[in-house]
Amino acid sequence: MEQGKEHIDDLIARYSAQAITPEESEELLLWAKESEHNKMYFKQQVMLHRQVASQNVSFDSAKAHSQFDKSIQQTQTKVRRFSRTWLAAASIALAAILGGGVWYASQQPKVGIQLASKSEVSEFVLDDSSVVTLSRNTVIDKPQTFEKKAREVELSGKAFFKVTRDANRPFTVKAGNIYIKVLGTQFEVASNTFDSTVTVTVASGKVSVGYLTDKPSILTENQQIIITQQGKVLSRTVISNSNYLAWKTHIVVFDNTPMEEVALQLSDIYGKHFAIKDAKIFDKHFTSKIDNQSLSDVKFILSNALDIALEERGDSIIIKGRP
Amino acid sequence: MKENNTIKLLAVTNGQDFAELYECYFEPLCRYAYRFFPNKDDAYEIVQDAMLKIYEKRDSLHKIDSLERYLFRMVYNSCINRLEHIKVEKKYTDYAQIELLEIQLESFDDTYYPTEMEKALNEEIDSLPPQAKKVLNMRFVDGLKYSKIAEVLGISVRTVESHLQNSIKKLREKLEKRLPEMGKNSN
Repeated sequence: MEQGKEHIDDLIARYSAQAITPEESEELLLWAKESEHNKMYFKQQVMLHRQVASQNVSFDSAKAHSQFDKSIQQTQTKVRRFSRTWLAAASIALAAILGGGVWYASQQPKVGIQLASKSEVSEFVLDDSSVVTLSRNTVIDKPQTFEKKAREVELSGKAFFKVTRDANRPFTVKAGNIYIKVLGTQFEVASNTFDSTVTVTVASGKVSVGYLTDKPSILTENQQIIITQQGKVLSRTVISNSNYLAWKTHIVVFDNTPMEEVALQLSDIYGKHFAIKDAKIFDKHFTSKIDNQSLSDVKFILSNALDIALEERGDSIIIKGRP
Repeated sequence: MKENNTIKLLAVTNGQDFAELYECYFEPLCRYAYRFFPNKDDAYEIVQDAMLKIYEKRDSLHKIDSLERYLFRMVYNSCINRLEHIKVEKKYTDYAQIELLEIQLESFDDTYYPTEMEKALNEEIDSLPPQAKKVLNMRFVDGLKYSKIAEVLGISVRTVESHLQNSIKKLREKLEKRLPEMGKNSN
């Protein structure tokens, strides 16, 4: 009996060290199955053997953590686009996030990463250290990591790109059929799904815009192009101010600007829908510079300057004439 | 460690930082996985898998009452997955070994967390004779080879070997005696 126990202990030691023959493991298995007590004993002994043996092994938790960080950046996790807890998800994104952006990987493996914003402007740093600022309700798809010879992203919505210069790796933004190609520069792309146009505005540097890869237009600083998804250029102008970036900078200059335009700009900045509910107000013009003022300040300024009333209703600001 | 659970839970549910989780639990979790898969790389992978699952489920983490239990449970699940995988892979070979592993993984046993085991182990190591303790530390903590330990301590490789064998045997026996006690302490 005692000898039998020693033999079993020996088998358990061999099993624990993974130095057991198939015949021996069969013997151990038969013994373990004899009773619950035997099973218990087997489990405990293996645990002890291996707990002690594992002291010999070191597990690099720092390395593991950095690998983990990398893979949460890349692994395909569930798309949580409409999750109510998107705000919590946002803070974990490796990319730097300003507002309430959501980072999530695409559903299909190896498709890539999706950067998205909901009701907040969000800023992300890409793996080539380019910085992209997403306006509200904007989605960008990109590969997990950019390829060696090209950097390509797909845009739906409006975003400002600050592309890190890399002459060997052109950076392309695909807004439907419209491809915007740069080497290193700053520009804004707004794709409009309602009228299927794309507006590209260049803040600095040189940008090429065109239908797929057909003969593109070259834009330089302060130039703006509006192009349809079919490649028809609707307008090409030189802009005189940076109001187009107000959603990002929160700076906008109104110079005798029609109220309709003012309402649009303010909607862009504050993420609330400024709705004009009084036909007379369309005739009004506004002159002022808004520079990072709070919503209530702006409401105060507007209502006093134009003698109008601004009423907050949920996500909307209703603009009406004073009775 | 237990009193900090709330803080850690909060940090996890806010999705802010897994750094602390890694720092406090990665090694114990690996040693736990090592009980079933005694291979450094396997254990490491299993725990990484579990961590990613935890990350995916972070939004529902607030429903957990014990973070520690949850972590080991997730690693346990990850071990089960690995077992299922092996079963498919090696269907007709080593069936007895696989069945033994199945017995090991029959149920989630949260009685002996490696965190507690480690504490107990350290206490027992402290009570070893000085020379044996020195050898053990040089081998396990510093990772020195037998020949190097022999050289440093001016003893033969054979002596190093027998020191280690004796110490390990002693430690196992002492831990075994402590098992019921640890069972009571947990939970």
